[in-house]
Amino acid sequence: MQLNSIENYFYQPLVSIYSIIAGVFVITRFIFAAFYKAPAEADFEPTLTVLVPCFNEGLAIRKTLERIFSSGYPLNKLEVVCVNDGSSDDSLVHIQEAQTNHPGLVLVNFEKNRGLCHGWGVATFLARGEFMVCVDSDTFVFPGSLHKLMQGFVDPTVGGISGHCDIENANVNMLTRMQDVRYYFSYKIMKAAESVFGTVSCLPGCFSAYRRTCVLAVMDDWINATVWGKHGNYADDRSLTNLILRDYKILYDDQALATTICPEGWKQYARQQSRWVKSYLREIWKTGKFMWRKHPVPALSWYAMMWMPIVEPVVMVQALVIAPLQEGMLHPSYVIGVFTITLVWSLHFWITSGRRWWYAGILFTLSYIFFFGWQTYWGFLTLDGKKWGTRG
Amino acid sequence: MATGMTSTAGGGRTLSFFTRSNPRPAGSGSPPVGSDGRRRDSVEVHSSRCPHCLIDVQTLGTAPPTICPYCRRTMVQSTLERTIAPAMAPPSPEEVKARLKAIYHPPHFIFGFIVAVGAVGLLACS
Repeated sequence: MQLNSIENYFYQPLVSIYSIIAGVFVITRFIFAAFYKAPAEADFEPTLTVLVPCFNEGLAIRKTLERIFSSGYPLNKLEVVCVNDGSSDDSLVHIQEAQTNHPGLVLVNFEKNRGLCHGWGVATFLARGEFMVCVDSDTFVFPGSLHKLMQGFVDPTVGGISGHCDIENANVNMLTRMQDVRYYFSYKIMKAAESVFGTVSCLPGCFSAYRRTCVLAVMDDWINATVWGKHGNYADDRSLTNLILRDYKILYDDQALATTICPEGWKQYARQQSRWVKSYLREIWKTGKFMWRKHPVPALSWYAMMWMPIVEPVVMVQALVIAPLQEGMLHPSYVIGVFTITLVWSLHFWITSGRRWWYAGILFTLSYIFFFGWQTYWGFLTLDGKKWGTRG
Repeated sequence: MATGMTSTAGGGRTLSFFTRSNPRPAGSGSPPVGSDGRRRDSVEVHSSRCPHCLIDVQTLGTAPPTICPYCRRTMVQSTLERTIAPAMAPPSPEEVKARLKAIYHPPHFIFGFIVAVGAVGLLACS
């Protein structure tokens, strides 16, 4: 009976091996995340420049800027550089209005759209603070969060720190609820687990801090990144994180809170996911080149995980199409594994946040299996695409 | 405010930029005031523009850059008079508390425990 079970388990070895590795990977994330501690309060308030790139954001940009200035960070140590990247709406007017109330606000106006990396690049050159915080134009910072985000930098080996971002418009429709569950998992479990070893793999552009000297040191490599030998606007948050992670620790602070607006329509969401998957594909090889030099646990995790999005669609076809055709049933280990993992992180979301739309995590898994998982291959084919992304 | 600010990281560098150029003490959302202490209706904005790269940097409390970050040519300097916009009130502590509560309101520990045990039981049965 047991031998039969083992035999059955491996009747499609790729699916079975994938299921085991993915299961172990997710379980270990929860275990590592249980050991996570936010950087301790050290009463550290260095000079700080907040970078806010903006493209067609309308009135939301004013709200974003006002929240930064009212975050409680000492104004004599705070500078904000807001880059209007050729917006065709009234964003520029709103930034100018905010500036009349806040002398610490520097406005950079690109008269034509140049792309996110140019906004960050110019803002970094103009910045005067020892540390920089990147805030998306539709991200709202909670009071005290800028201060909290700086505390981990007391350690001179730390090059960057990710804050925690929740979804501002979470309860608008099923898509936004789904993204809320997904964001929560990626921060509270994935980033927390990585932070235990100082190897957070992506400092999200929506709310993250950098040691400015680290950014300046890699600026040329970052801005002039190439894909297939071609230059373009390929610099993004993940590529910058990668360059800093080579030589520095990168942490996550779950007490530095902000909220951000997520896409409310499927088309916009698909564009955002496409941009993210392309960025992931561009960077995994670069990360793989140095990850072995880090602590063996995160290094092993990385090499185990890096190929998953590439293999996943093949595994899905085997488990959900080929297996039923050959055996007359869905691949049990895959289906149970996917269901279990989804249930675990969805319930974790419910129990720890209290938000009732935990079931949206199931929709996320289904949408990934049937549609977004396939974007990986589309991402490969369009790896040198240069569009800004979500609002492009 | 009058003296340079000593940095607390980065090798003890002294940065006088913020204290020299930011004329306002801490306090959020208050519009700049004139030398007589009265609220002004407009402010002078310094603008540096590069006509070649079509980039314009506007500053209020700080000196604008003189060299274009792209082409390294000298930027064209000008001063603009801009009417002060009505200030947006910062969120009150009650509003912030309410926002936080809307995002985080975890159920009682016992409820979470029951859900977790139920889920494990369900999976064990399946």
